[in-house]
Amino acid sequence: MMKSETTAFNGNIKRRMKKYNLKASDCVFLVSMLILPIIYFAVFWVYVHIDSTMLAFKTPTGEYSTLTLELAWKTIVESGSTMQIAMRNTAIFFALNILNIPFGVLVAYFFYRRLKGFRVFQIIFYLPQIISTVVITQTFADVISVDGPLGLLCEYVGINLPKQGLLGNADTAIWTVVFYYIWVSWGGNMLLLGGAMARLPVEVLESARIDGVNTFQEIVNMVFPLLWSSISTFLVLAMTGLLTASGPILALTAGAHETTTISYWIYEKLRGNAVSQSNYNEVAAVGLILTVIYVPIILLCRWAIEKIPVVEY
Amino acid sequence: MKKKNITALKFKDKDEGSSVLSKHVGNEKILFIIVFVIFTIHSLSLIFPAAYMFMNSFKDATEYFDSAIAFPQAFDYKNYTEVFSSFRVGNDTFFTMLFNSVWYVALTALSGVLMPMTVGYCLARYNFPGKNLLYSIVLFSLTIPLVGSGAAGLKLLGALGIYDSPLNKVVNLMSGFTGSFLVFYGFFKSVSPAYSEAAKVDGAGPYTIYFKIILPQAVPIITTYLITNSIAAWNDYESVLLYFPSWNTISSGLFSYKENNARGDFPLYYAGLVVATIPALTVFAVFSKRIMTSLSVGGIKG
Repeated sequence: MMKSETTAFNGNIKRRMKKYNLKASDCVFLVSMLILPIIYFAVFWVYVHIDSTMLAFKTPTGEYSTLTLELAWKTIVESGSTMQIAMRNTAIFFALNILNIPFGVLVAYFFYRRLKGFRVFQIIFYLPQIISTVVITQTFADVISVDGPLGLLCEYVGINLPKQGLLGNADTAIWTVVFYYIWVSWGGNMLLLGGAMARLPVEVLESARIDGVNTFQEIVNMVFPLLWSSISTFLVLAMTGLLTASGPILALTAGAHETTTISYWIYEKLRGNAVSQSNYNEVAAVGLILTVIYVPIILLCRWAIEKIPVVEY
Repeated sequence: MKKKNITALKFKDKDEGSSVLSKHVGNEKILFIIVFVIFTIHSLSLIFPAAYMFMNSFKDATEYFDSAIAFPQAFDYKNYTEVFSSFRVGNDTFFTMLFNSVWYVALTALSGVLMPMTVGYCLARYNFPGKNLLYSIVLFSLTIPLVGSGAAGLKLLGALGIYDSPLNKVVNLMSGFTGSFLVFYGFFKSVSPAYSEAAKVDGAGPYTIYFKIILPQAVPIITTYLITNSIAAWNDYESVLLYFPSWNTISSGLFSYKENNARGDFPLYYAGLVVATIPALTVFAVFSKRIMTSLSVGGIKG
């Protein structure tokens, strides 16, 4: 009986391997190569997300309750709360990430069209990815400080900067961070979009040129549609990063003066609390609520993006 | 001739001036001049921080507070010798932080490549039960934003005893379902199966095919990922502060120095920043061409 069961099992395995055109050595290879990443994924993604959901339904003392979620909801909907400021700022950075995509296309377009010195620009625009944020933010803060070059210039032309500086004032701090973010992320997508641009069918663009198409028409009617597959990928990735969109808050303001974002709020709650774990339930509850709110919106946007046809070439 | 024109704009041909697309006439010429001016101003603004940091690293504290934007009165290397001899963040000397940076960079760079590349290959080139499910789960995990799990992640690291330990980074080497997986998946899909089929006919097993036939073709994209991941890890301070608070790297150490010494010795701090920037800049200078072209080729095709 045992022998027949084993034979049937082996036969089943053999049939399946044949169906997938796999030899025994292929199976050994696949198992040996995939086992570690699958275990890692099961523990550090699946288990962590399940545990995170459980944390949201627990109080800091470990009892199951909806109290943490109720408090988190209150934090989210309370007018003028830190979480509302964080959500507003996250939306601003998300919008910037979206706007960065067409802007990146424009930058890549001028490089593609052999703007004078484009190779040098390419390297310089990539510098913010090379030089540490600590360096750039420190210099930026120095330059825009009241005693710095900007302060002196403003004084010279009769404009008074806020006494606490642009980063030390709630009215100006977030917009200063936004300015910084635009400044350093200008060429961020330029490299990858440049790669997509290099694959464009040149003969199509050339014949359109010969037919009298101008630069504006070329960008709007040809480059954007031809690049849509890459642009849509960037859009989907930006959508994915909606809740984590953030500028260099820690280095510039540490979240002070109404500059916090959702991801920075979470970071701040977690940093230095690994031993006490005092904020873990609150973070998990806020995260769960925001995920439930935003995921359907993101899925809807993705669906709309994927509806736009991709040009094959 | 037509063929030549096509390749000219693919950055491969020397005869790039022959395409109508590389010629700017009439109003377009004015547009390109305006764009050139804007790009130049932006470039200068990006170079300025490096120059500012470099200049101030040679000053003493008094000279810096007198005027941070003036040229140094003398190029005194005192701050640089002090960075190596007496610069401390907590109990960590500069060399301790350098050592921490080295293992942190090495493990982070490897974890972004090692398993994502392997998983990408298996899913792109093999057909096996559960493959589509696995691919869908990976795509879901990469494209649906789930926030707030950081707390549970830290809790797990604490329970496993690898929070605030380099072991955390070693375990991280097992991670295969990261963003780079998509790029490797796309790359292995595009590699012609003819090579592996020929090797198979010659009796090569799956390990030989993967390590000796396929991986050598992926060297450019692997190198690019290793370089860009290394630069990002070298400059990373937020993750280090969160996951490895007792293991100051140069970047996190310099950030902590500034955070804890709001009125500290800034020229010394700038000298530290210059030293911290040199490795990343050197790597970029050596490999800039490879980074530019490989990213262009690999791109986001996933």
